[in-house]
This record gives sequence, C-alpha cells and structure tokens, in this order.
Amino acid sequence: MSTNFQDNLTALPRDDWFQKVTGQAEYIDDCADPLGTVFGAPIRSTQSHARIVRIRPDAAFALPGVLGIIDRDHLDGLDPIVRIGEYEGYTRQHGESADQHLLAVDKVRFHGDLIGLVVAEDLGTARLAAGLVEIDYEPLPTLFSYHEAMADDAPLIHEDLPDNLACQGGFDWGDVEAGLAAANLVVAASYYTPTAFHHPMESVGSCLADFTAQGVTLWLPTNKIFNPVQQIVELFGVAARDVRVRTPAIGGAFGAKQITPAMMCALAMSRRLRRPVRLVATEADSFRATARHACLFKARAGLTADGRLTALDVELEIDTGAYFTGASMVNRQICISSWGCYRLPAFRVRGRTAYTNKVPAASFRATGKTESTFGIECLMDRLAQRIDISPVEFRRKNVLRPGDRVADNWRVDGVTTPVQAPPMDADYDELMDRAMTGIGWDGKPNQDKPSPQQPGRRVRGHGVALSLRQGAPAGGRTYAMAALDQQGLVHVYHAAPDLGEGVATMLRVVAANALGLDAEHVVVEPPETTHGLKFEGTAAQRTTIHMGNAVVSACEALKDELRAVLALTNGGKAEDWVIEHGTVRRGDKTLSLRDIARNYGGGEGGTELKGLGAFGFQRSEDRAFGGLGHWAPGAVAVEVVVDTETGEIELVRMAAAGDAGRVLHRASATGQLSGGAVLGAGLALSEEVVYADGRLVNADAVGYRLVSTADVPSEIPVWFLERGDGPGPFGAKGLAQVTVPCVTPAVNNAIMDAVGVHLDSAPLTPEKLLRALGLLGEAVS
Amino acid sequence: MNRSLEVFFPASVAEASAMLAEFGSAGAAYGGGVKLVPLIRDQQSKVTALVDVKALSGLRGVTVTGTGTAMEGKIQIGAAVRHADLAANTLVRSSLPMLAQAEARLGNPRVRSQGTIGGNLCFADPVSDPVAPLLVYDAEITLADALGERSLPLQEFLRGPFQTATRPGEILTGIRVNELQPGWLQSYRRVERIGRPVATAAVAYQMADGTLTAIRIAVGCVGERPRRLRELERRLTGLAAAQARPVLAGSRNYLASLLRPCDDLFGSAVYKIHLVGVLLARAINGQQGEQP
Repeated sequence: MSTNFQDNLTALPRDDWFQKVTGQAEYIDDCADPLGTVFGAPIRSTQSHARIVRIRPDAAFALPGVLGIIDRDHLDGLDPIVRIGEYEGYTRQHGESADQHLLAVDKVRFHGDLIGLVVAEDLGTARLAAGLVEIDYEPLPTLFSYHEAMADDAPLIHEDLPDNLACQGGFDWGDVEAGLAAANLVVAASYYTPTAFHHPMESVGSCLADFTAQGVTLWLPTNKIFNPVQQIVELFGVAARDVRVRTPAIGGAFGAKQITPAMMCALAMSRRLRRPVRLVATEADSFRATARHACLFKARAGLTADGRLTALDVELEIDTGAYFTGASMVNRQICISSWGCYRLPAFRVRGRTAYTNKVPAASFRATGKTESTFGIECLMDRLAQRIDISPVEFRRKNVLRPGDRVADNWRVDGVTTPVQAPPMDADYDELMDRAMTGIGWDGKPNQDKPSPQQPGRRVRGHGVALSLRQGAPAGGRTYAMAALDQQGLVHVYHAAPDLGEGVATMLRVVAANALGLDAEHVVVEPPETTHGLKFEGTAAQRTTIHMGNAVVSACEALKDELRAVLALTNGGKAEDWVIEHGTVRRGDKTLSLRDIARNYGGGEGGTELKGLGAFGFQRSEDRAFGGLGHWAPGAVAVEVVVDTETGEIELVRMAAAGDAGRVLHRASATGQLSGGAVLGAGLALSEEVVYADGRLVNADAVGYRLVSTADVPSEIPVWFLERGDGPGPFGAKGLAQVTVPCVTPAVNNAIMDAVGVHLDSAPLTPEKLLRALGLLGEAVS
Repeated sequence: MNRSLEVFFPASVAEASAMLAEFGSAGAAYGGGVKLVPLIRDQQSKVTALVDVKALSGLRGVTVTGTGTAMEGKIQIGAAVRHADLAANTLVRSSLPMLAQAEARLGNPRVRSQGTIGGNLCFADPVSDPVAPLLVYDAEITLADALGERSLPLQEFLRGPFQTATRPGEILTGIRVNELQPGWLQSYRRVERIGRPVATAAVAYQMADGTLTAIRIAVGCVGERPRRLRELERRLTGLAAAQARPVLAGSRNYLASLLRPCDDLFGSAVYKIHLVGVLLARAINGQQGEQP
C-alpha cells in the first residue's frame, strides 16, 4: 500500500457541498416523474393488534382516478407471506427467521402494519382513496412492553410460536457467581432505553418503482442497494440481471432506509399497470417503517476493597416490536457490548427479546450499543459513587489498557470458544482526557451538591462515558472497480450509498492517494447494482474499511493493468514501469494516463483500462465477535446545568474523542463524531416513541421532539486518535458510531455529579429528574 | 382527482365576511396559514376555500387608539400582524413588554415570520404563547361581519381547546389591549421542553412598602385554555412579597381544579401544576439578582 499519503486531500471540499447548499441535490421526492407515473398510498392498520375480518375497497374504487389496489384479495398471484425486509438475508446466514410479510393477511400486529396499497393518477386521490378503504377488525389485546408480552396469559402475536419470545442468547467468561461472592461490594442497578425512531430529515418510504417488460428499476434512498435486488428477485421471480436499484441523494438514514413492504407493493402495482408507481412517504409513514429496540439493562457488579471490578452479571429484556427484522442480530449486539470496555475477570450476559405490538425495530446507528452503553456507563458511575471515588478515577482503574485481552475463552450459548478478538488497541485514558479537555473539565467531581431542601438552584455537573464497539465485522466480500477514461480521469465504480456522511468524498481521497493522483482526476460514480460490484452496504461502521480497501485494491489492479499494457506495447517488463504523479515511466519514456487511455484503450469511448478490487476479512471461529479486526472506542464528556426547581436539564458543553486510526477526510470525520453526539443528545434528552391506549401516540414532529441547534452546544469539539493502526486504507478505522451511545450515560452521569441522583430511564426528562429528587408530589386532588 | 383548494382575496372586511358566510365550514380566514395549511395538507381539515385577510387594511398595524380618558393607554393590534413584527414593534416592546417577550419566543423563526396574532388566537390552541400576557393586559377581541363589529374579552373569546366564540361569517379584526401604567412590574416566564412551551406565566404587580398592592396573573399552556387566576390575585393582594410564597405553595389544589391539566407527552398534570407554582413564585419574588 502506498505510504505517501497526501495530507492536503483530507481538507478537500465535500463532493456534494455545492448541490446541497444551493438546493440542487435531487432527493427521491425531487426526482422527475417518468412518463406515465402514477401514485401509491399505503393502507395501514389503525389497530395495533387485530384480526382482519373484511377489507372493503368499494368506496375507494368508486373514486375517479383510482387505478387499482393490492391487498390480500387482489394479489396477482403473488405470495403475500414472502418475507420482506433487510433481514431476510439473515435467514440463511444466521439461522434467523424473518417474518415480516408483503402485506397483512390474517392479522395486523402493529399500528401501521401494511394492509395494502391504492394506486391512482395523482397523489391526492391515492391518499383519499386509501382512507376510504374500510377494514373490519376483530380487536385483540395489545402488548406494548417486554413484560406484557412475556406474561403467562399474554395473547400470541405470532400464533405459530409457543410464546412471544422472539429469540434469546448470551455469552460469558470466568465464574460470575464466585466473582460476586468474593466481592467486597455488590451493586445492582437497572437502566431502561425506550423505543425510538431514527427520524432522518428525509422521510422513510419514498420510492419510484418501474416494472416493465424489459426489467425492473427501483429508485429508493437506501444504504444497501443489493438487498432490494435479492428481494425483488425472490418475490417476482425475475432475473437479477434485469433488476436495477438506484439511489438519489439521501437525506440521512441511521439504519432506517431499508426497502419496505409498501415499496414491494408499489413494484407489484407497477407490474400490473405497466406504469411507474411513486410513493411519497409522509411523516406518519416514516414512524411506521422501523424503530429502535426498547431494552431494560439489569446488572449486578462486584468490587474489591480497592475498587476493582470482580464480576459483572447482566440481564437484558429487549422489545423488538411486531416482527423479527433482525432481532437476534440486535440481541447479540446488545450482549457483546454490555460489558463496556472494562477489565472483568468474570462476565455473564443473557438477552431475551420479545415480540410486542409496536413498529418492528431493527438497525439503528450503533445498533445495540446505545442500549448497553447507557446501562454499563451509568453503572460505572454508580459504583464510583458507592466507594466515593471520582468516576474518572474509577474508569482509569478499571478500563482495558492497551494490549489487554478481554478474556481467553468465552462461552457463547454454552459453547466454549477461544477469543479471537485482538488485544485492546486504543488508549482510553487519552480518549477520556481529550473529551474532558474539550469541555474544559479537569475530571474533579462537583463538591457542592445541593440538598433537596434548597430550592431554586441551578447546579452544574460534569459527566463522561466511554464506548466500545467491535470494528467492521462480517460483511462478506466487497468489490470496486477503477477505470481510466480517455481524459485521463479515473472513475471509481462501487455500491456504497452516501447517506450524507461523505462516503463519496472519502472514496475520492482514498483513490487519489492509492493512485498518487490529485483529487480532480478521480470521479466517484453514483452507487449502482447493474455492474454487479457487490457490497453489503453503508452500515455497521464498515464502509471506510471494507469499501475503502476494495477501492485501494481496485486502484492497485488498475496500476497493474497499466504496467501490463505498457509492457506489451512499449516493451520492458511490467514491473519496470513506475507510476507516480499521474504518469507512467520507464527510463526516459514517460506517458500520461490520458496518453495511455487514448493510445492503448479500445478507442470507442467510455472507460478504457480497468482494475477490479476486492476486500474481505478472514472468517473467524469466534462466535461472539466473529470477524472483528480491531476495536473502535470513543468517549464523550458533557457539562450540564440542572434547575432543581423546574427539573430543566441544559446541555451546555459536549466534546467527543474517537479512534480514527487515520483521518481520511477531516470535515466528514468531524461530522461523524459531532453529528453522532447531536443524535445522541436527542436520544438523551427527548426522543421516545410512545404507545398508549392501544395505539402509537406520537408519530409526528410535534409529539416526537428532536433536538435543534438551540438545544445543543453551539460548538462540539472533537479529537481524533491517529496512529495509522487501523485495518482500513492508510491505517484508518471506522468511527461513525462511537459517540452516539455515549451521550445518554454522559448526561445522566453529569446529572448525578450535579445533584447526586441518576435517572433510571431515557430520555432524561425534567419531570423524571424532579421525581428522582423527591420534589414532585404525587396526587393533585 | 385533486381536491381543489381555492384562495380568495376580498377587498374589504364586509366582503370577506360575506365569503366566509357563504362557504360555511368549507371556508376559513387565512392569515399566515401556519396551522391551517398543514391540517389541510394532511387531510385533517375539510377547508377548501381560503379567504385571505392579510391585506385588509383594518387588520394591519399596531396603533395607539386615540385620546381621551376612556381611550388612554389603549393599543390596537391588527389581527394580521405577524408574530415577528409584534416582537420587534417598539410600541409593543415599550408598552406591552410581556407580549413582546412571548412573541419573540413563539414557535420558530419560520412560524414567527409567517404566522399572525389573529390566526394564533382563532386557532385557540391551549399551547399558546401570547394569550397569557394578553389576558394580563385585559385584551378585548374585535369581531366583525357585514353588519358591524362587536367586542368581547379575550377570556370569553377562548371557549376551550380549539374553540372560540366566533360566529359564522365573523372575522377577528383586532385586539385592543390596555397598557399598564408606570409602577407596574411585569414578568413573563416560560418553561419549554425541546422548543415547545410546557407552562407559561404572565404576572404584573404593584408594590408599596414591600406589600403587593395590586397583582394580575395569567397562566398559559397548562389545561384547556390560558386563564387569569383572579381568586389567587385577590388572595395575594395586600400581602408582603415574603408571604406570597406560602400562599402559592398552598395553592396547588386551587390551580389544579381551575386549570385542569391532563397528563400528556410533555409532562404529567402534577408536573405542570408544580411548574406553575415555580413560575409564579419566581415572577413575584424574582430570582437571584434578576429583575422580576
């Protein structure tokens, strides 16, 4: 790999800045309607749990402009229980059972479950018609929590199963009971993370579906463009080569932008009508597309007399919503991150995931870690409080040191497996110090906690939280292609959608460095499926490492091709030709890339010489962290001001530190840390999807409050550890997810620093704070 | 089939009134449209005819209404004045400071730049910033139709959540407000949750020798509509400021029974009543070195 990394490229302007700042970037709802486009509107369940007795579309059909409906009674021969959703692929890979279907047949299982789709000549008519479809329901009891779902007399959500347990799993090492028995102090605590919604700025569920006799084209904003291809092939029986999935500009994803059952119905209607079908998602649609799991983290931890951890025992009660949608993946992600980043002689975690009548939950930026990190990082502060040392000092004492191994063996679902995860490769002390420095805090606790009898105090507190995730696991093979055109430009072909975080710019920096070119000579093409360059998708903090390496590999292959062509045409051995600064030379013969393309390419336009690149990790036998290449740590420090009369919690300072390995593009990397912190602040202070009285209550921006710039500090300093030791291109690591999970525990820890109490559930609201302080009376007569 | 939505531009209040009378429930007066248009878009409103009243001269401007004892200190606010303009208006800022503060914090910049005070009052959202200050200023609402005008106190105009005393064909043309004379201390306070008000309080009072000689209190966003707390005003009048706190602390049940808040996404009824108590205590006692 090239070692002469061009530092100036890290300051490159973002590829998309001009289009986005001037409003010219085309998102899905901006894309022009192809000739003959018609519009779909989903028919969604208004019940959270009910049998469908009858669907009566007569009134909808009577509306002028209505073209048709797909529902259980109008299926065109399609199998309605074909599994839909991103996690369908997990069925084979991990033995999971995806169970979300094309549309509801016998039952609806959540408020918004898809019953069908009406298509009309215009959007207004389609929506009006969808509202005119009458559904007769036979209501069933609703289950909105793990406990309700797991009660003995709970009705079954999936009647082919014996109970509402979706999955369970866990792992352990050492002897937890002995560790707790030997401890001087055992502390138990629990922390609840509620259901949340990703809420990207762009709605979830818009698409443009065009099913013609010649093939299928689906435009949708998604992070995984090959997944829809596979699903379309399976539902419609078409050949993969006839399916083209395209992404326009994408307004954020955070795990929410997957193909939806309504999109498959739009394709089915396009197939029937032979016209393009457009879906325009509303906010109500978005909230009903996906969610984040709710999770109760219950733990016991033991400490020695000198404040070292002896053992940690964790139980997780997870609520996945109405369908499986990757529940065991999430169960596993929460489990494997629930020990935090601490030296533990013994650890045990057991996660149990239940179905409920909520919007099915799936991936959410830092999947599983938000839930586990809230628990473990608050528990650490509670332990520190109990032995009266500062939380910072407590962490220094117990955190994994560089070179430490987590354990030697662990038992995964009872099977002993050697730990293949590498030793800790980051210095948490430094990350924590940098985050604390970023908010101007020396790590000393607030010594002036008010008593509850002192009213009207505004109290300042500081808190820190650390996160650890395994870097870039799994993901199969990743392919990319580098191709030289007759202008001397190198085009990068790939399938990694840019969700707004700067994937395209990152790939340009990588390719320019790998080829020794300036950035102007590299063109990163939009992601595509028809070239067949597979990629699992922009997810799991994977893209920089997997796609970045695949692009480096493609550039190396292109260089090999250039040398081979020159050896054939100009003599010498291939290795005699030296590539640097956009030229290839041997002795006194120098050719520009442009010359090579024009003279030795096919000469018929398009790109000429090509290099195919590939990347993948070695398959690991480690059943807990399969495929882990490195650790990805992060730290966030915050300062809050708490009003002990109103309970208001003001986030006044926030700073983050992450291990970048090497920063490839500084503005994008900064955005990953600070943007993740802002997303985390919303989850910490406000965000919760609320269910009550049998329904989803707050599926709109009035009821589901997102933080704005007014609610977060105007500056969020970030700092990168850069040792060039990551497995990505030029030593980079991924860092998309390291700050998100830290914010809720950091804020809760700052509240504890300010007023001496923790809140036991997110979001951390003023009312909960007053209740925790015992300052809110119960009854109002 | 697109459902049609038509906008009409009447030349006078009388013409606007005639249009609204004709359209019935399918018509609505259209100011900034910040509440109405999203409802129509989301098919939660049956309105298909918007009668644009923004340009009607009688609905514009902020003026001192005239001279003479009866008119002294009266300020007329046109119903079509936008929130941002009210917040920036020098007369409002100097004479009706609590209203200026409430308008400056209302919604977000887009809502303030587009929405009008009249539209806000006609929508009668229980969560309203300007109503509590207006109640303290004894605001009167002017309603007009083709036959003439009538006035009624703002408190009577607001019948309940999203309900007003407007009759078919009537248009809210203006709000007449009483400026408080020098010697009144004024304090507008608001607790918000991620940009949305949870409780507001507008308090004006006069002190003489450490005693509250007069006080007006209105509370917003808690319960079905903003309210003046006249019984509490009477209880507090004549008390020393230091005696006010225990009275407020003991008024929780009174507040709860009068305001009747419910539990919702922004907090429980208990919490909201608690907040009202805190805001009123802070308004009367001031806070650590700040002006009340």
